[in-house]
Amino acid sequence: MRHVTGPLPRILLPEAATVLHIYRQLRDFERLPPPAQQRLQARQLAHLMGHAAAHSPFWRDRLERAGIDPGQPVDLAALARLPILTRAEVQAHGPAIRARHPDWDAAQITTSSTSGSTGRPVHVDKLQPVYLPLYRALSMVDHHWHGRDAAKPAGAFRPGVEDADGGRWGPPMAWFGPVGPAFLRDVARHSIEDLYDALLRYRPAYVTGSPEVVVALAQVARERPGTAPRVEQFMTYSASLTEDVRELAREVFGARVVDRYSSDECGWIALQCPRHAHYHVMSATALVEIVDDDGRPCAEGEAGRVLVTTLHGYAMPLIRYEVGDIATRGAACDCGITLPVIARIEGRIADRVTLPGGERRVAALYLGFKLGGTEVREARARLYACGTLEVLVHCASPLSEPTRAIIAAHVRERLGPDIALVIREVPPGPPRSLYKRRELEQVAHPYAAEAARAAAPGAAG
Amino acid sequence: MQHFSSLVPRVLNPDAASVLDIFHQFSGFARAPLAAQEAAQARQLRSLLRHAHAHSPFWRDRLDAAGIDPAKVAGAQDLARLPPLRRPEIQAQFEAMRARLPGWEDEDITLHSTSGSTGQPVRMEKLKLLYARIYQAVALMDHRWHGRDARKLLASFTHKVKDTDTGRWGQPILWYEPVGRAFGRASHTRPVSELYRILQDKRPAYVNTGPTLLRGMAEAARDTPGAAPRIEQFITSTERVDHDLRRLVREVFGARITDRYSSEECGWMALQCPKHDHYHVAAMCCLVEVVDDDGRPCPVGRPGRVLVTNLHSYAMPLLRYEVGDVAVRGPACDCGITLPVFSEILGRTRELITLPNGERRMVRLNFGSRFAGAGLLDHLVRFHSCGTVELLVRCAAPLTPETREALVARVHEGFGHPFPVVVREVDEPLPVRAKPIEFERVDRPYAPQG
Repeated sequence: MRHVTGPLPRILLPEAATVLHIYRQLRDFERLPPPAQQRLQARQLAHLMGHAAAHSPFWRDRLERAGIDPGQPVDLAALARLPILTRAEVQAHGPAIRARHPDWDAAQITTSSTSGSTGRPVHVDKLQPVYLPLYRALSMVDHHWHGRDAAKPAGAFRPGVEDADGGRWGPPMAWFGPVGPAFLRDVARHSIEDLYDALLRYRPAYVTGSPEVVVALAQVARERPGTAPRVEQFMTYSASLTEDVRELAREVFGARVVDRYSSDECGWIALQCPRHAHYHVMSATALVEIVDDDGRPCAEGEAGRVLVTTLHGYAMPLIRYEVGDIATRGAACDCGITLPVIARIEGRIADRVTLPGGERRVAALYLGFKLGGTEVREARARLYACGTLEVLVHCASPLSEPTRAIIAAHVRERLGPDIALVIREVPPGPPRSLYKRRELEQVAHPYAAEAARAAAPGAAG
Repeated sequence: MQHFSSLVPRVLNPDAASVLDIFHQFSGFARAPLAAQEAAQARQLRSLLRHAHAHSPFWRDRLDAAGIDPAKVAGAQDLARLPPLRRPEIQAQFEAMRARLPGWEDEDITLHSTSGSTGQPVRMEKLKLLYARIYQAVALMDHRWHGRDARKLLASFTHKVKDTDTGRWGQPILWYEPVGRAFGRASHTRPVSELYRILQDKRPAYVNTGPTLLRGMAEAARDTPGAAPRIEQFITSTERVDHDLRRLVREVFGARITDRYSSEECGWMALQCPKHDHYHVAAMCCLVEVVDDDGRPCPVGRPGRVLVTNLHSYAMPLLRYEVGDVAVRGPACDCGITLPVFSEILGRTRELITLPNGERRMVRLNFGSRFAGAGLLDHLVRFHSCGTVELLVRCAAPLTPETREALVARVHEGFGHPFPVVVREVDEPLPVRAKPIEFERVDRPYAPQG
């Protein structure tokens, strides 16, 4: 049917109205006193647990063992009695974790699969009529927190998408006002030079991509002096973001980097504060704990493992799910938003290294951007079981001593002065691509074994 | 599929969310400065006029004849050149008044028919979804304005409901609030005294009913020994609510009347103020004019005919429709709502008579249960062109001379003039009307029966 609607009232599409209603609730929630937020979380958690106990054998059993009666009001502190839900459990018990109400239409359940950088993906079911509007409402919160003007052009560089040109911003922003042009590029199918060319062609005000995309684009910009377009914001996701990347974006593109913390399994977890570089947990939809290796809550300023309870994960409840990230709890914020603060997302647990002195760090090296403007075309690292870090570089011309020194200084700044470091030149790999490229790979055997196989490694310092 | 309703944040079903969004817009409108309201109305009016001009032959001719360019209309004042639309025109021009866009299906349209108290119904087409959403948004507004608690018991005594004891509060309220039980009783199938006994028995917090029946129940309560049940609100519509009735209901039940002014053709036109007994025009839905017999706008305080332009009547535009009511504009209200005010809705224009001395007045008979004790079961008043009032009564026992005399006195009081009155007793039940009317006009002189 063709619609006629005048301006009074503005008749929204029904799904837009649902999203707008959620958005308004989220905006109210974000400024409630924390105890009020926690009360609301507890109500929603009890609702979720009631559903989980009724429809998921896994959760029925697990809640019972923890002595949690889902029929009773839930105390958030009682959550700690539940064991941490691991990725391996979700992989092993997927069908039993699902909690399908018999009245649901199967067509409205979708399955998200993680990108599977460990080689074995996790599948999580989502109830679209609930998940999708929440997801969209949260993305509106992000847009409005950061004052984006949807009438301006935007671009997105993501893995596994179809390239698109000539499009415009989509929902939810397209539902509520005029929107500008938008383009999309699959980072898995393009070299970073191609991506940069798209940036030059469309000159978007806003660019969505991982921090690696920002670094790569900056790298190409530096290789082509004087060409960098002005970008207002890079909207990053999916990897740890360092202050270096923020600086690089500011320096090369005049851009602010606004990070969003999400995962395929859990959706939005935290959004960057409108005023600061830290994050506010999206507590209306995700209950986030940060715990130490013994499962105890971390203190403010302490880094720990991130556990997420997806408060609306009805189709497949994830309660205390270990997303695999390390984050640091932050202090309350002065911006007016009372949501809990994550000071930093340190990175993946898989990237955590133990330094020779016993100290553990997340090895977010970002060698690529540090080496922009040098002969190095690509860099990655391997950390061996013996503690030796091997940096592999592909260079346009032989690796110079000054560049070698830059690498050594950067690595030691990140990982401490005592790290055993080997820098080795390697032949060119496939075209520079950003898809699922791990900068740091942990190797189970000692470096000696590798060294025996490799020919004439160069060593530094 | 069962829609899984989460608690925090609530994920409303799309219909509920749409209605709530409109409600928020209307709530903002209701407190906006008058100039902002008029500007928004004007934009909406242009949208409607453009559509009417493009898709309805009747309106294209009428707008062109009045020299109105839809794109240039700046507000209600620009409509004044358009003749008022009268009920017979809608009856005669149904096809030509429709303004269907190519692509609209029959299922997108809903056909409404007035209850036809004049015997000839008016058919109206409306865009089903748009009408429903707006109707529900205004219903929600009324609910919130009057601070009703939907967990409490609701009763409905109207001719439209079926007897039920298992209901609950319905849409849109149940979408947003915890709701309690509701019950209904068909009002036309039982005497007022029985309905009053049901009130005594069930003690609802809110009663949805019509003013005539309410008056009957209040009188029954007043005349019945023992305390009447405490009722919080009587939610009324369809007929005039006067000050006497408000006072009586307050005295007897301790209740407030919260009245709504609507019609089948136009939907919501006004809601009672949350603070006062007067009404706020639903200016987000309709442009309402109050004009004198020459079509000139009436000033505050002077009764006039109500003309309504339904701002969302895309399927079948209603522009300056004479709904047949008389209302009085009131001064601005102090409640915070900036919508225009009706200080009174006096009733149907057909209840407005001209007395021999030239004075115009609304006829108010209010027989109610006043004569129930005297055996009066039913009555019908006819006002003939010669000025004779014919009163048909059905009685349990023959009328006594005293009752007959009291009836005549009541007619004289209600008409405000000692017109000749003929009282006739009948045996057959008199016709049941959807909306009670004070009297019927008969366009011929009274002729004595056989």
